[in-house]
Amino acid sequence: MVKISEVEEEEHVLKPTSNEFSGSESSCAKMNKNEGIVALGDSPLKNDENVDNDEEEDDDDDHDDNSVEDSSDEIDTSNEDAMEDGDSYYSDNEESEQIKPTGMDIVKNVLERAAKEAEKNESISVAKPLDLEYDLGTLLAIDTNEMDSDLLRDSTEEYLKNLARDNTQLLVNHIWELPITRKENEIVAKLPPPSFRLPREKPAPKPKPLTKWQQFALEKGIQKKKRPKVQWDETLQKWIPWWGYKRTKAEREKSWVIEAKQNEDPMEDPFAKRAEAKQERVAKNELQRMRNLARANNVKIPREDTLGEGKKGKNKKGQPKLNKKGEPVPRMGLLTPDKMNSSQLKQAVAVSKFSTASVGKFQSRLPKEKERSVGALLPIAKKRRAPFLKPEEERKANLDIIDNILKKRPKLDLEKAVNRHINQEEKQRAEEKSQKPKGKGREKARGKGKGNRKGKGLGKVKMSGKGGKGGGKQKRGKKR
Amino acid sequence: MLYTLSYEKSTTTDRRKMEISFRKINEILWHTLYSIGVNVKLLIDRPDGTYCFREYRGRVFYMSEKILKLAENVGANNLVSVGTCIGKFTKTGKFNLTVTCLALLAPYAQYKIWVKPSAEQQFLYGHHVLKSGLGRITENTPQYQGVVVFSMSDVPLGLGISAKSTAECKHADPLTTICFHVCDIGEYIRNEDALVS
Repeated sequence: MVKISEVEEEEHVLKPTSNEFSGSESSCAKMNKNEGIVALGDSPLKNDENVDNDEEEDDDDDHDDNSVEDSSDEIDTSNEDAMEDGDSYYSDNEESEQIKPTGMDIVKNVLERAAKEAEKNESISVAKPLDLEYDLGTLLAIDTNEMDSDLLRDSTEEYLKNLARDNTQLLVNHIWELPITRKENEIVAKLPPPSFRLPREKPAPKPKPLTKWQQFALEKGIQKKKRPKVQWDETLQKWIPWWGYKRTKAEREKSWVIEAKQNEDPMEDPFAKRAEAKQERVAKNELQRMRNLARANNVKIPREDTLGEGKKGKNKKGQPKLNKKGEPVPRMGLLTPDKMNSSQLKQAVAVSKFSTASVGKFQSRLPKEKERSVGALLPIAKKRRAPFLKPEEERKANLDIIDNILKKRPKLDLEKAVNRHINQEEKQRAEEKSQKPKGKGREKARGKGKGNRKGKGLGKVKMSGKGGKGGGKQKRGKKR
Repeated sequence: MLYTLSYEKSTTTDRRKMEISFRKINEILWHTLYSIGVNVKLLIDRPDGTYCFREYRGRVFYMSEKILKLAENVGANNLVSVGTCIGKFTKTGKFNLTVTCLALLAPYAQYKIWVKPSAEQQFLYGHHVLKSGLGRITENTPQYQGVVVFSMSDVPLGLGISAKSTAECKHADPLTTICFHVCDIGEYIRNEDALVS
């Protein structure tokens, strides 16, 4: 429910109690004084004499204060009432003096009334290309119309104020369409339940991590069967719940006597034994619950053998399993700190040495022991990194690196030298060949034979900068 | 410069991430040195501006300072590629030149191999260059030297490593490998999506 207006209120401004409006309340009031106000439209309560009388006086006051032009913007409840009452009552209109009960006058009167109606509606009707989206439950109106960017830039304040007024007007118009009642002198509208879904403040909760059983059931496709809460007990002849105090009571009632088995120790108390078994089951369940928690939170828990209980690693008689050497068999699971590997041990040594008042400065060292930095193991302040290099500095640094590399490169490349030597020798030979015209024929023949032996491919290869085969035709390749 | 659309801006950590360590730049320069020899100096000492190397997502990019400044406005997660990708670091920290660096390195090549038109396709399909496909080779190319492979019409086809020195080439069998394949421009089609990301 929302309180629409107070009867005693001086101005006809909607004063909602909801939070959504509280911010704009002051601006609404201001608007009322300066320009238009948010008009209340056709109130279903306009016939209410109580309201009318009060408002009439207010209206008159307003008209005195404001100029005549302003009056058009305001609601004139009194005029409305006058019309409803059949032209008998006018508060401050000049036209009222001219009224005479002639036919023409009646027509004129009707026209005037229509004009007035239109004029009045001007203040409360707002034209929008697209209808607003309303959620009256939260007193919310969403305007999806495009904003006039020119106006918004030129006269931001003015434009926004007008826009707010128009939209508020539309919202108020809609509120008036709701069923309205009067309670203790106050007009009250019944709001529908809110439909707008506000986005949640906090992020959506993470899914709970599955327990080991849940995970297993999921993998195996085991589904939880629905089981009735109670179960028929044949011996007691009544319905007994699966859990709770009634179940315990029934259990006690049912098993007041335990049959002694032949192979059992007659001196043993079967009741105590059963109680112990139950306790153990509870403890086991608790342990498994803790394990699930540990798994969910990534906490390492000690192995079972350190707990001293449990079946794992023990044979059927309950003694620890032994390997051939007679040592207890290591079991799967998390490692205990008593079985650290060498690197873990080294870490531990480094940390313990570091953990003195002098930060390990005066600790004696083994002859071949390496100094290990503890910084990586402990959350000590991180090393500050060098600032960014400027491009010019970077270029210089890179050039330095290159110079360094070029310096490091061996000046004399043995292989290269050998190759060059071979190459020169071949050149020399080729020149000699070309200079000896006598042996040309023989050389050629040999060259051909070689070509045949080595295959077609070789003949086509042109070694740049070298003598070609036989003929001494030189093809110079690109030399650097 | 390629980047995915986003409002995320680069942070100091992003800049740090892209900064290249001394060890890595050393590695890069050694590798480029193997491919183009002493000319590697020209890549850094350029008259037309300051150029630098940046590493991002294991890939090494070579770019001018101007482009770097623009790229620094983009968050590291959104940056796809900037400048020229010249190679990448393997997970074990080794540097490999990629084919995208070819246009950059080819003009500076010290040792070259020209491939016959018949063997071009073989090379562009990712095979080594055999003796039968060898057209020309730079004089005095040592063994296991980074080389740039050209077609006979001097179009750079890719990078390789000489399997034989020039002298050995002469007496080699036609089926012996002369040049090991490193990368080739066929990768632009064969390996398109792995080139940048």
